[in-house]
Amino acid sequence: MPTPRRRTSALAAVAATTLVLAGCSGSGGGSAGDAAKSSEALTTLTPAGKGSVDKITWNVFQGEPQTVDPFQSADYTPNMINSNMCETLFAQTPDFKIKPNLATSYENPDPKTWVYKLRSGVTFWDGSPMTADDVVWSMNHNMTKASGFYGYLYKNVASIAKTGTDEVTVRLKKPDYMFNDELASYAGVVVQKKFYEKHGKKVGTPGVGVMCTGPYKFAKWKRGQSITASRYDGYWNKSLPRKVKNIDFTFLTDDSAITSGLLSGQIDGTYQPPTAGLTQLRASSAGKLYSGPAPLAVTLVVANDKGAMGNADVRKALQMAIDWKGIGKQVYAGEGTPASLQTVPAVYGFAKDELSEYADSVKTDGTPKIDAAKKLLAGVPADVKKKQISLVVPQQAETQQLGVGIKDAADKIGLKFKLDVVPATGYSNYLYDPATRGDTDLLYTQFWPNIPNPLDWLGLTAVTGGTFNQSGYKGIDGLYAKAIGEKDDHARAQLVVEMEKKLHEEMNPMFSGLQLTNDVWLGSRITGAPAAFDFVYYPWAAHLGGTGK
Amino acid sequence: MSTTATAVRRTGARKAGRRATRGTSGIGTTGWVAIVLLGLVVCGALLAPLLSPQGPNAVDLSGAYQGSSGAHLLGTDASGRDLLSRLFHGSRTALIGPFLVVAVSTLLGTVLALAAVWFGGWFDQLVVRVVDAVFAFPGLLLAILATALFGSGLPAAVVALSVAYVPYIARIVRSAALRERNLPYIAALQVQGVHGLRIALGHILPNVGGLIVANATLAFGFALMDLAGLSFIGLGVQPPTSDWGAMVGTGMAGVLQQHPQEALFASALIVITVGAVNMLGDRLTERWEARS
Repeated sequence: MPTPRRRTSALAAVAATTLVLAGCSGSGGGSAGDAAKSSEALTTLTPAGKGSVDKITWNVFQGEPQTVDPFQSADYTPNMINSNMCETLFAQTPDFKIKPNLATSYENPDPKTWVYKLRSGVTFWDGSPMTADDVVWSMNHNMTKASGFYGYLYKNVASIAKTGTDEVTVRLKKPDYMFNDELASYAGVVVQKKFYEKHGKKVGTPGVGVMCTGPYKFAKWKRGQSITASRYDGYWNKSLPRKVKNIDFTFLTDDSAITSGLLSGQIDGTYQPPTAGLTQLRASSAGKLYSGPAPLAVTLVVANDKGAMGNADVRKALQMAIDWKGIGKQVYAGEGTPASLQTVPAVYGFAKDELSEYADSVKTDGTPKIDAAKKLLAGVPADVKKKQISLVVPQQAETQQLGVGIKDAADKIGLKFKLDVVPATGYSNYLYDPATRGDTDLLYTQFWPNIPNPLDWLGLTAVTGGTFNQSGYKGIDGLYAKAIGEKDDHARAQLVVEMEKKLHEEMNPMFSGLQLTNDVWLGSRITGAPAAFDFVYYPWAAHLGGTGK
Repeated sequence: MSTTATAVRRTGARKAGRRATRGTSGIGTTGWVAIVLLGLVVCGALLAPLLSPQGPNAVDLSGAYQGSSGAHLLGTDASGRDLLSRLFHGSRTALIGPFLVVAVSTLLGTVLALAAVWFGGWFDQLVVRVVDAVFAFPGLLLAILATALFGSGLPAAVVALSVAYVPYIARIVRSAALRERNLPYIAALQVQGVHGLRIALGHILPNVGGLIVANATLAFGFALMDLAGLSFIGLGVQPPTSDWGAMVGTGMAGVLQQHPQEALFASALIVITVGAVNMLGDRLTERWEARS
């Protein structure tokens, strides 16, 4: 504690000034949601760039990554950078399609065999060609490396072998019709075998970086400041414009600093600019804000089925009481709309028709239905109702507000509810560490799957062993196993609908929350980036170009 | 005989000092202004349920960021909660926390200081060294460490700040008590066979009481700022409980959206209250210094 000083006059002056400012500030009323251009059609690709740009600054909103090793990249920040450097066998395009990439084609001669033809003429940044050995090594690394994120997608793989100079064959223990699509995530990333063997555990660190085939190469990492990626002129895919020569990725996380940086032009662009800054960005002429479709959901995960959340009627009553529509409009500045199912339309993929039909049949407007919720709760045993429900959210403006809105809903229907706000930096421990979350009942999540495929989503969230299935829900394990092994898309889609029906009826293990759009801010100098949520595995920066300003 | 006369004279002066300290005469206009301001804040806190037009946590998402109106005199926040009601209720946590910090740290610091002065020798040296060591830790840092260990919330922050403030109080009380301890009237009381505990509590403590009150008042202001700072960064009072510091924090998003009223009103109240407390503390300190 500092020594007391005589500073009352100064404080009084500050108080007076503050009051005057408060008086003058006025309250325009309205809301951020009012300003949202909710009626505008979503943009998939922003207008193509024309001129070249020597250097741009792009902010990654979650701060500095721990590593740029793609095998360990499974979050916004590392993926937003890595997606421009390290490529996958298949690519997820901005229209949520899976297309050939480093693999030009595949064959499925029998249910347990996948044969991949590799693209010729692909080189790593050091000029050496990508070979089948590199592909086999990369897939094996994914399958066996304990620190990797994507190993679980190889659980049905028996062997990976080079079967020709440009051919790799994967044999499965049992049919798995999701495996092939997953190669459009970092489960299918290809890195240089020689580089990884030379640098070992140092790969991905600031001093070493990575060695891949993407349109941008790792150039420099100034710890705490920025990562620079430079254009790789030997890149194989000449159809991508690649008009920007150097990209400095910065790590600002403070809402005010990011917004100011974007408005002043010191930062040229960012994905998912701060929600609190959207009003100013929309009104600014310093650049343009685009909204695109996204497989993103803001929702609640049931983390503990031993407490009150173990009761289906309590879960359904709380879901009914939450003002999802208001949260989407107000908290997420009009970027969120109530979701009908636990998965969102952008990931319906092969089951698009079937899931859309079911989603339409259970669609709600997302407004709170307090009386109906109370009626549902009336039949719940008193000893269940008296159990306290805890929700943990990270300490960010919108998540805190979301938590307040959910607590308000619980209070209104008479549930005993506790909101815990924890520092954002430590929040992921609640998601991944059982000891940290203890008997927490509900967790906030903003969820996206690896690929636009509902089975990927459900595998992560609702099947035994899924990373986001914290409560250990096992109600659809049988259906899921059947669907994975089903070759026919329509039959598989029917199984997916069955699973979704069960999950929706039980409102478990996730609530049907909000589906979000993806925002991208492009300063007046640049254009061309996909507005669709495609920055986690796709080389989005290769689309950027100058506007001539 | 002369020793006894000295003791009587000092004790008489002490009583006069106590009367003056407990009263409000001689604190000047600024002192009175401070008392009026603090009185208003305390009344607001005590009568919050009666004065608040709505529940402090009543969410109405469709009514977010409303301007001043009959229903919401100061408008609403991002969740549509009535700002006036939240400010009234927020004054409770804003005042209770610092009060507890000051009460605990003053009690502990004073006891420690009097014991060190009375026993002297190695015990006094030990207390001085420990106090110096704890003093080296910034209070806010200690509070952040405590919340990291025991979880966010007011209790951990109050306990940590109480510990952090003890050295501050102990140092000041020790130096004043040491001066008293060496005055002839204390020796006279000892010669008369008065028990040490009685001398410390009945004679030394009242003589340094004015100083303790003055410093406790100043410490209140600092504690309010520290706790508001902790709530601002999310480690103090937890949502949805209303608190001025927390309101400044949550109001920052509103500032970006051109709705600064929540952050401004809450910070204005913090500034006014801390300013008033400091004004009063300054006047009380001046008064004590003039009398001693």
